[in-house]
Amino acid sequence: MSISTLRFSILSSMMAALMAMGAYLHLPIGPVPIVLTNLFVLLSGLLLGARWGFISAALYLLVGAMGMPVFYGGKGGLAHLFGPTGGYLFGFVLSAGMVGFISHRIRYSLLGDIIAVIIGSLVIYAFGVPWLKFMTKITWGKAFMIGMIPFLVGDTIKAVGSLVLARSARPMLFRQIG
Amino acid sequence: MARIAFHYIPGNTFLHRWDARCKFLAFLFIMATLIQIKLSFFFFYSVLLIFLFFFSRPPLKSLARELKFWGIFLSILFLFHSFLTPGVPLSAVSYLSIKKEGLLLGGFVCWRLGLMLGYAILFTSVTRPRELRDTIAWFLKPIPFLPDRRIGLMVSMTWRFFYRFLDYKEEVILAHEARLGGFNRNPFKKVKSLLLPILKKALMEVEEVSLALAVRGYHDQLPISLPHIPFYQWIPVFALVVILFLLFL
Repeated sequence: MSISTLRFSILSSMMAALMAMGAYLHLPIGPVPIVLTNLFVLLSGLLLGARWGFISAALYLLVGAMGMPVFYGGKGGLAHLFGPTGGYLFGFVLSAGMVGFISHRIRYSLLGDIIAVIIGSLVIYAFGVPWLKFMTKITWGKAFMIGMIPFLVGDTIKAVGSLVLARSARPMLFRQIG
Repeated sequence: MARIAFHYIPGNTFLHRWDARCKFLAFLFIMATLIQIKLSFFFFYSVLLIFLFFFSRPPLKSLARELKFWGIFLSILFLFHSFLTPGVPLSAVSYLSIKKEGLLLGGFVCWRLGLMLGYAILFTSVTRPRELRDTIAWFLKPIPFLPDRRIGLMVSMTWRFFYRFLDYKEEVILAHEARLGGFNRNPFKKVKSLLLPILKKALMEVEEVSLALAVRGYHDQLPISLPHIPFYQWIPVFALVVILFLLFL
């Protein structure tokens, strides 16, 4: 096993741990408290690329599925993963992979990163809102009203935050991985 | 101040000596069945948790101090459910629009969350990260084409990083407040000033851990030397399954 693979494995664990910590970090902005898990999901794609971003988000779900309290509000377990908000959690995995793929393809330019985080955020909703609708048997309008609209401002702040952090941390990360 | 919740706390109790594979299986059973809303399950799990905490002898005073935040969180959650769940308002406090259904639902939600948290704290306080790594690798071994050892390592590292980052978070928030950073109302600056130091520390720690593993010759094919599980180690797991089955009937 090469040192590079080992380093990326540990980096994925780090990002999964940051996603878990994000569930415990609130920013009291606006009526809906902003939890920072999705910021780290987007960041994992921006920093680690498609493959390892995908792995780190999947690792976060695995740790949560085992019952560790790493989801929002200290929840954990398979029941929560397959509950009404499970779609957002599965969306995290694809979102991290997608952000990494786009960001890498557009060679880490600012424009590429912006496109990547916008698409990444939309991917989370693309999984979360239909899942919420079918699990709770509500109308599409209500699903959008409770599962998307209140979070848009917060998600914009988180997307910008992930961009700022990625551009600040990338030089350090690239120095480490050579 | 060092945190102790979610950390391994050394000891020589029955729970510390119990085989991590059996412990993990029991933990999974409990977490999976906590979705039940039968009162008997909740009572059984609460009594069991108090009993196990008593036997594992964690520093309860320090733990209680740390869990203050959780107390506040659960109280807010309870109030939220009490006021916002539709139902018939209680006649005694009709001017507050507290619903009976809300009280029941809020009580159950908070009780379940408290139990989940309690069992997770208990499990991590009596299980070394190395044991967790080997246990996950052992459970994944029968599945072909899965790098069981690496997944075990990554899960245990995630958990180790998780509680270390929670410690970092406390340090960064304290340092931030000491520099009067709390007066800053700009959310982007808040995010950057809080998360960038954590991220930088985390990256440095990743480099140290990767190098330490590499120089110790870590690779995926290293054999895991776990002893055979004696029959008496399985007895608590069987007992738990039987009790859960009886409660379910």
